[in-house]
Amino acid sequence: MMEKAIIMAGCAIGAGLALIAGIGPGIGEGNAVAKALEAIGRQPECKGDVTSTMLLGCAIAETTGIYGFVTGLLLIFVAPGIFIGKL
Amino acid sequence: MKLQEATKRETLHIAVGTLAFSVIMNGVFVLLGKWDMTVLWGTLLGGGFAVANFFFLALSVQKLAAETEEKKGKAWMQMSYNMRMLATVIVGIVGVSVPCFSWVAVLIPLLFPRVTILAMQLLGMYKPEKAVVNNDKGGDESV
Repeated sequence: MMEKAIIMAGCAIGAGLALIAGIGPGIGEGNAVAKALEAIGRQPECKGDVTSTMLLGCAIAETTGIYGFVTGLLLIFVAPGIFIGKL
Repeated sequence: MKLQEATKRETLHIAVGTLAFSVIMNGVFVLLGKWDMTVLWGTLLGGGFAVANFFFLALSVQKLAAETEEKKGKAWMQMSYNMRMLATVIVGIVGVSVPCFSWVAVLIPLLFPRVTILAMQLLGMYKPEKAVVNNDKGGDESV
């Protein structure tokens, strides 16, 4: 009983820590967009290139948050079953 | 809102890449002997959402490109990210908890846009353009 509780608590804490990874991309994307707007304001003729590069950069940054989220989901829904099954 | 050429082009690239990787993933499931209809539904949910997520990201970026205020653009992008992440959380929880979806097949395609971008870079689809030097007009040399 105690072992199950420790496993569940460990998984919950781990999931919470993994979801912290979701904070960074939001801040990073915001900063990237702000700088891209600055660049477009300076050189409006580069708008197409900057938009395209910013789009792919934001997509890559966002995946970091999704990695954390997937890890959190696995820790909440999948890992407890695996570890408790081994007891 | 009219879609820009860059938005259409990149969304199409991501959609084709996600489709290709989804087919490969289903092939791996077949080879392992674990393929069933839940894998197909899971792939449709995860892959479809991954493309939709990228499309909404592209729409946000397109809207922001017309923005002039940096602070407003930053705030809008962060709100857009929060909304899309919330939708991702809902899709992930539905995919894991509803039995008609295979959770592996839902979660893996969420990462396919990143893999597609990596594959496009490896295939040389995104090489930086050569800098144009125009000394006659006194322009600065691009770095």
